[in-house]
Amino acid sequence: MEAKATTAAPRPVRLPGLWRMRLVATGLLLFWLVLAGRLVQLHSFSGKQLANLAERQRSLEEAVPARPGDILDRNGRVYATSVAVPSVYVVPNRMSESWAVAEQLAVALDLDPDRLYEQISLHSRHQFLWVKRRISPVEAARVRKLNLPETVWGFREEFRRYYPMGTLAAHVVGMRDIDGKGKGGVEEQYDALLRGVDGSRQLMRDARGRVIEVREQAAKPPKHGTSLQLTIDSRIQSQVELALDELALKFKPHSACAVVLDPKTSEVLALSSRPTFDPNQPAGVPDAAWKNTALCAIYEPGSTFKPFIVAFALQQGVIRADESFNCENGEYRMGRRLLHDHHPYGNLSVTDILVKSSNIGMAKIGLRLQNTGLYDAASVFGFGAVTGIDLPGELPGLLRPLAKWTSYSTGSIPMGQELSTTPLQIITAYGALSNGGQLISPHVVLRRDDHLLQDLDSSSAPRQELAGPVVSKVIQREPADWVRTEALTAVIERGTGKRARLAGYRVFGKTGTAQKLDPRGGGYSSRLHISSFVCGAPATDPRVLVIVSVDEPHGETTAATFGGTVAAPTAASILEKSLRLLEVPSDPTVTAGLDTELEVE
Amino acid sequence: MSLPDWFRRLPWPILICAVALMLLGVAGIERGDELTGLGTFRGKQIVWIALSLPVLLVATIPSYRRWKSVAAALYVLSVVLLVVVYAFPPKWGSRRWIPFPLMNFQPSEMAKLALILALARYLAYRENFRQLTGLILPFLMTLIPLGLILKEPDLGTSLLFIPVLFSMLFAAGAKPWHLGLVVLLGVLLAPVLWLGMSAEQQSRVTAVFQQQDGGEMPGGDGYHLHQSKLVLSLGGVWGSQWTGTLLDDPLAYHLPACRTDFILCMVGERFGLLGTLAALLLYLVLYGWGLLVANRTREPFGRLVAVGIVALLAAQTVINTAMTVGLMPITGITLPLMSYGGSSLLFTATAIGLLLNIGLRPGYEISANPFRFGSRSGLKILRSAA
Repeated sequence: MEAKATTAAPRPVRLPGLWRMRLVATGLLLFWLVLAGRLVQLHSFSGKQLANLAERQRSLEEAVPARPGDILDRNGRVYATSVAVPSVYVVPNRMSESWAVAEQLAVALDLDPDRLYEQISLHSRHQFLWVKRRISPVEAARVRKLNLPETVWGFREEFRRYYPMGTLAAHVVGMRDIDGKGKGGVEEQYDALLRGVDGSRQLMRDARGRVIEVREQAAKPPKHGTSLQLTIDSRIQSQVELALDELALKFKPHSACAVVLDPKTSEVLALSSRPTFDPNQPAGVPDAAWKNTALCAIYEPGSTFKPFIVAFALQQGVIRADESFNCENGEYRMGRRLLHDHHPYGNLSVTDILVKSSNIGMAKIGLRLQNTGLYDAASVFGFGAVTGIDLPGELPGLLRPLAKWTSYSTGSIPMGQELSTTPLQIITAYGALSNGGQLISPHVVLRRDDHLLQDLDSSSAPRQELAGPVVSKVIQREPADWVRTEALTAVIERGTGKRARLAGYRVFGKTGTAQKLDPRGGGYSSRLHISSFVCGAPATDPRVLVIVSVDEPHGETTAATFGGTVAAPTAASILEKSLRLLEVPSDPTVTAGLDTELEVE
Repeated sequence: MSLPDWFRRLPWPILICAVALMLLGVAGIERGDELTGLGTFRGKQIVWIALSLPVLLVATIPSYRRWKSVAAALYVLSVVLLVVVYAFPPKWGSRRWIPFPLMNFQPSEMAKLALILALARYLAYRENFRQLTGLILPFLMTLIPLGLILKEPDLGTSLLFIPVLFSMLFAAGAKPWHLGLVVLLGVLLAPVLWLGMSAEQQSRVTAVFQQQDGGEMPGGDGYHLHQSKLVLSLGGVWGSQWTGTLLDDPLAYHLPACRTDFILCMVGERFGLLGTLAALLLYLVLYGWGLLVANRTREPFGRLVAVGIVALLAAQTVINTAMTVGLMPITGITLPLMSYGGSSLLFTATAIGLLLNIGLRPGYEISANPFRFGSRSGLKILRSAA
């Protein structure tokens, strides 16, 4: 070219500065050689490795979701199950006209197109974005009809959780959120066991992103979740739900709960809480409804606590069953404190102290035990610690350390004040009074239901073994039986629990009316109560225990909001239906008296 | 100039190479449309080429010398426009455009040509640049628009001014050791420049030195460079156009700005190594012939303008290609004639037209009737000349 340049010049005269042009041309040529060399190098040296990378990119690994296990009741009725349904996703980094795609998808799926477009733009460098999950067949058909390019969207099978029983035992079952994570109840407590482990498989895709081959040998099969069988008995559970609904309608309480327990095993036969929710429709449920009141409502137990003090005092030998206490005609000065009974009583037997629910009588028993004895009584029956039920969110209540107790405590603790408990703690402790003195941690899961695992590799299934209940002997059989069969049956026959008398069964029980702290300040409120009632039958060999606890019932008079009026009839009706459903033989000599006159606690 | 003269004297290889490169670019843009599935830029680019070719041809008609009288004014105007740019809101993070109804005008494109004309006008009949102090004014003339463009920020475009200045000074006869001294000064100032760079610019520089061919997919700028090299090599030697081999995964082809800054990758994917080497060869012939034109032109202004234009386009080509293959940091700079983009194509066409113009008039001028040259219609002149 340089030679040409000189010859092509009009005159073959060597122009000044021509060498400079040549140098520029040479420089240019050098640059070009370097660039061409680099291009060749990229092909011959790097091409292979880069192609390997490309090979890796075209085979994709796709997750194969594990099917979550079912939840059944003790009779095999299905409370939670999973059905495979499609979910729609898009591939934002392959999308060209995201607005058009977003708009069409949004119309088909009933979404806000602007929100969807914003989401796609936000994730424009990502390979995956859920558009709508677990859609209906109608929606799926509408999306297919759009005929969008196959590279930018797809369906992925996901499991949708169904709760065929709806609100029934909702607080025991809990629910599974959109990402398949357990929220509340057994779904949360046994999440790992129920959920299983997702598998994966290798897919080969063609240039248009369509799957052309599934590499089975590279597949890792999913480990499906284990099914669980609950201790819940649906027949009893639905009676409890009905009874609570009726109660809620009548007294319009702030909240309420009921637990039915088998005292021999501490299996929870029914557990219900108000307000409640439908796990099929988690949207818009008020926060209060998620609360499992039986486990996390803490309140001063009041009179329902008194039998434990009596039983412990009997065991320790500080009182005798045939002893009587002077109840000082309704007014008793204990140190600087003046104690009152609702009615003035003279001498009362130990049984009558419980029947009349005399605070003064209890305070005198408290004086016998002293603070250390009272503390032992409360702690052996499990107060101040969680019961260990296999449900999330349980609270331990409050039992202050002994060092913080004062001379006031000696009078307060025996009447169920200065400590707080949950309804579940109370019924569990009554279990110990009913089964000969053993405190057994309550539980809601009966067994793993492994039949679904038979055709799968069960050996490598996730192990979340069911721990057996914790059993501890807390009191001797004799004082426990005496308190139950003598004192607590008397409470039903002629005391505050008359409304719980049943024909055919000897019932034992205890009412409780705990005053709430006045929200306006200044100590206890005279209007706001937590009314509760614990009962069980048959008294000689208890098969069923029931607790009903009602927070802030509203009645025409203050007395109409007490435990004997609000909670006892509900608890008794639950108890009766449970006994009949469990076919517990009845004793024809026991009759339900017609006398329902209210005894004030 | 008569039409037969025009046909006889025109440096045809330049025109042929330019048109061939435009068409190669369209083929690349077409592949980019297919791979991204994003819009149809091919059609738009064809419209821009249809608009640019007449501009190119018209630019050959009035003698390039007429530019000499307006060079200074053009230079001042472009500096003013580069200042005006700052009055408009930033777009995509920089202030490069003045919005007009139909298109956004980019003053830096005009400034490139204006600087070449102004430098040529200044250096043409002077000798003082053979002293070191005489270099001050040409450098100042260059640094003013360079600084304004750098501040926009548009590092890529501002970088082009330096090879233009050096080539023109060198061709005009500046002493090599003077220029060498300035280069040395620049090298010594490099650490200061590095500190003055934004974090983004620094990461682009480091990405060049951290290249690796295997292993994990790098992120950020490394990812962009990685994809650029991957797409280039995916075409193999012959290109997917002929062998038809396509990878199954579209993600392998994911390359941002594949129809503008990384158009060479699209050509490489479609026509393989042969395609990219052919593109390089076309550029080489184009610029080589441009230098030949400069060589043959004995009129100093013309020679310097030709050298300036070749230096400008060649620098742009080298920088773009080098960043595509990982020899230079990624700067947003287009490949002349091939990349998609209207205003860049229009100005490049004008520059090529000017180069052809100089080639048509090697050192002497058939002086036309001043009245004819005063006419605004180039076609009219052609017709009357014929």
